[in-house]
Amino acid sequence: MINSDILRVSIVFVVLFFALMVYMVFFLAVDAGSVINNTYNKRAESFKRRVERGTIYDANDNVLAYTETYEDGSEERIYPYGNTFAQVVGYETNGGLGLESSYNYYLLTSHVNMFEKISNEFNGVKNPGDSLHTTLRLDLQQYISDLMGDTMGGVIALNPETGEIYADVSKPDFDPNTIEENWDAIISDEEGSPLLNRVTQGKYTPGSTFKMFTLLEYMRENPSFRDYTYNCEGTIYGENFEINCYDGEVHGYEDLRSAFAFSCNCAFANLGLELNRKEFMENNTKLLFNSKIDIDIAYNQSKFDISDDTSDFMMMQTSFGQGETSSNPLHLALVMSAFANDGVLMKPHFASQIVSPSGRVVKNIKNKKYTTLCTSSEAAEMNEYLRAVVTDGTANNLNWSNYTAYGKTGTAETLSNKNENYDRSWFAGYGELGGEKLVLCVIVDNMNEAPMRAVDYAGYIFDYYFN
Amino acid sequence: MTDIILTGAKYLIIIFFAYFTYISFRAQRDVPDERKKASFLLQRITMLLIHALAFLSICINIQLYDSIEMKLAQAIGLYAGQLVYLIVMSWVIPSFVSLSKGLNNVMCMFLTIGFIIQTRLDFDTSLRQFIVIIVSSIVFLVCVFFCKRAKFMRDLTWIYAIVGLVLLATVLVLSRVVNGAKLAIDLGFFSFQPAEFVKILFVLFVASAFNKANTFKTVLITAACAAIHVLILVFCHDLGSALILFMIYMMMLYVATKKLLYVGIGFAGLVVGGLASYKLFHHVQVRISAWRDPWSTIDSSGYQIAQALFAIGTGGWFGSGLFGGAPKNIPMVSNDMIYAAISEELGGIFCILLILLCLCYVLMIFRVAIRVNNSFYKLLAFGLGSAYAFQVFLTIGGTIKFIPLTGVNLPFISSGGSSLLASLISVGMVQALYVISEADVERERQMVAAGVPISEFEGYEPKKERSPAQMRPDDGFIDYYDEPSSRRKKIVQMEPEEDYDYERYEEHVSQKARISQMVPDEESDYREQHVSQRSRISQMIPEDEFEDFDDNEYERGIEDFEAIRRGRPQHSSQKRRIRQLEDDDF
Repeated sequence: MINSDILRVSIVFVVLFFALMVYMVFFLAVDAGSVINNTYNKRAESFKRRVERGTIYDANDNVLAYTETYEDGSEERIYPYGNTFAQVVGYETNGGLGLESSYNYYLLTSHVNMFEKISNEFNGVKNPGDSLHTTLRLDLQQYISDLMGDTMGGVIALNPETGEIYADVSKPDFDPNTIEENWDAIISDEEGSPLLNRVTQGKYTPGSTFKMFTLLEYMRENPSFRDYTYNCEGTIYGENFEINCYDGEVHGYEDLRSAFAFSCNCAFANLGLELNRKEFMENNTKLLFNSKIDIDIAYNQSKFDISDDTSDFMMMQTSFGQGETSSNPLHLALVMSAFANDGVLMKPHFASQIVSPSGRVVKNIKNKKYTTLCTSSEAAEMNEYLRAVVTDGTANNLNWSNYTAYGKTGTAETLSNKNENYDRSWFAGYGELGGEKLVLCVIVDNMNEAPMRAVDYAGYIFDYYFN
Repeated sequence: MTDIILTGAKYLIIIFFAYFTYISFRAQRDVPDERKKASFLLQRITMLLIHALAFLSICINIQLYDSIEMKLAQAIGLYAGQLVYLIVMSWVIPSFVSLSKGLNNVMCMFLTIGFIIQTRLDFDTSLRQFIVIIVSSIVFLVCVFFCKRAKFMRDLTWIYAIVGLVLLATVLVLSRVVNGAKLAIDLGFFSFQPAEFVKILFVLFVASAFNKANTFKTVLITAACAAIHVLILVFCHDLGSALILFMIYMMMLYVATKKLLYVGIGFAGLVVGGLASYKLFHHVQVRISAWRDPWSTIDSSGYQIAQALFAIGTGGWFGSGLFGGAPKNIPMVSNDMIYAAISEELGGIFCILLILLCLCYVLMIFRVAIRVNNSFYKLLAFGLGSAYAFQVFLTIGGTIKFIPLTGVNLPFISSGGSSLLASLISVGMVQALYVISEADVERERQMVAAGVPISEFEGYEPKKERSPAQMRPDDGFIDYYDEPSSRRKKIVQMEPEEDYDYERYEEHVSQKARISQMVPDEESDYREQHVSQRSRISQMIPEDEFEDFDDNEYERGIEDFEAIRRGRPQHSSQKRRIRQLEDDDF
């Protein structure tokens, strides 16, 4: 009978329409929050009409940013510590930057209760927005910022056991309180690029710090890596090229441990040739090269590219951190924090809680595991070598202190725009005192003009933190 | 003060619309329209209140913000005009012309939503839309009168197909590519989109072809014709219309032939065709990738859908209120993306209710299809209903990223003259079919009253007898009003009396239900009834006559009752006897 067929088709349509409704409800209830928190959504203006932007706190409830409403109804965003948190906290105007931008939606969302909301709406009063509590530490950030002074570079400090980022300093910086007035001057400074957060967005040649990746790969491929020996004469020759150790040093007869501790380019260029390039590529991808990192602020991927077609020259260059490879302080700090934490990488984060005006926790960002970068025995072996860098090698200045330091130094040799030598000094490592650990990664952008090396800055910071 | 009014209006609009949707569903109960007068009145009142509140908000916003280009006088003038139109269309016309008031009210509600959101977006578009609606409404009335009488419509099979194909071919040849698709023929004062009308012509064609002969040959011919339509539309890059046409054909084919096999073949064809067009056409790939991940292509192909999602998400459950959002950021907001604009400013809840109301509208049309007797009319109503339903599904689903975006209009609400005219023509036809279906039902009632045998009813199909094992408990006890007209005859057969007592009949039905639920003896009215009847009998009947009472007959009746209560298979002969027993006054 035709009618029963019509009924059947209407059931199909009922199902389709209900699917639409369910999807719509799902979208509004679950997805909408994260979807609309997007810089392409130009609707923040419409939120601002109803919500007073929330406050940003550090880990000890110091206010990092707040909104002051004047009697005439006008608002001003105030950053009490000025330049100190310039890139990491960022600003809301001019396209937004840092946490202000990535938590824009949360800061402009109000979780006051329904009745208060409707009553505010009827009274024409703005609802107070939710506040953002961060893992940043005002004292440490301020110390690092003062220590760096005018030196170009970046520093990140984080806790490897929780993934909490304590400090993120990038120099040169700017004052977010006057960002609108000084906008043109700030964006025209191309060399300094104050808006760039060097810690997460830098694209730097890793230099000798890359040797920890080469070392780990060599360990993985050669169980008898402790038998490796090499006689460094300061130069290693290829078919039509030569590679020198830094500063013309000659390291002489050495094993893998001392080659790493003294950062011998020739030894690493030599053992780089023995590596399986395909595996090296795969393993480094797992070590966060060429991959996105899920973090609260803008991040530029590190680059690493090796294949069977790579020339021997390029392979040797790459093995000790020159070549086409690029990285950034956050990446190296994360790899280091996995070594400090038995190979387990905790999810790095700046935000700890979103709290409603009445004190209710709207969203709790838990410390959780992000991924595993290596096994705990590999981490233990790496730690032995990283410790040797401090006790015997290039980071010797960290040796005479009350905390136990591990790490790797580096100098990335590049050419400036003017074709002059332009060296960048690196340090990635961690300190440990009484079970408490702090991972540091320091980059000094223009070594030739800086007062000291990255590892010296790291020494001051460790001293400050542990004492 | 203005804040209070604006906020109040925002929430009241949602409440009124929820109430309207509720009444619309309630008014679907199968009682004569006379008994639903109150519902229809409430529908009109809530509709006019929503319209008034929305225009109040618009006017306040015009006063508050200089950035709005519309002038207060323009808004008030437009409001007055639309108010007159809505009163005439929903109140005056239905009292002179016989129409389905329920269908008409829901349509007027859609038009009201269109008035509100289009005025908010752009005054000029809204004014033009209003004028198109007035003209289309006249065409609508003509359609109602014409289709009611024009019996030759069912015989024009090939004319529909030829006119449709000529229209499509004209588009293919004459029209320019706009936004990647060939859609419209520019007539100077009016940009004409034939695809909207081709849908209706195609439904007419399929309905009349299957009305003429329901054979395999018809299937082949209509399928070929459908394929040509779809191919031309695909070459015009009008994938939305192509898909709608294909779906209409599949649905109508299934209903006309009752063969799922054809539908299976059709969908296999759809998959092949879909894959082929994905490979062949760049714009199909772009649409699919924009659907799967609009965020990575947010600068280019994903921009439109991302903006729509921003609008819906930012508006949230209650919306930002009119002029509170930024729907103009969405490309094509006044037609393809109108749903996102409604959601942003009137709220997600409003929009979910709107989906429900669209569903209600579809079910109303399908109901007309069920009630009308002639198979051409049945297929016609069904086809027009599916076309509407599928179009709504495509546009809303596309906007909320449930399915890839196809770029079709939301009927009655989106701007666009051709779409509105086509929608009103199509609803005009459905209204005519409604009138025909009511006449059918009324004639049946009269025939029943006159005692005409069931086999002489139009559209009568002898029903297959079920074997006793397949009998269902309620066979033979079918509620007259709950059943479609063709099954009513079965009941009619059982109750040939001229003045059938419905109240008594319903009482029987309730008793039957209790039996089938196996109510314990003590609670059963039946038992009591019999006991009381027995005592009545003993009181009423003189003792000497009481001897004549057929004890066996009575005992057999009791046995039957017991059998039913214990859940034995019920045989129609048993039931017939039970009914006699109930009806006899002993």
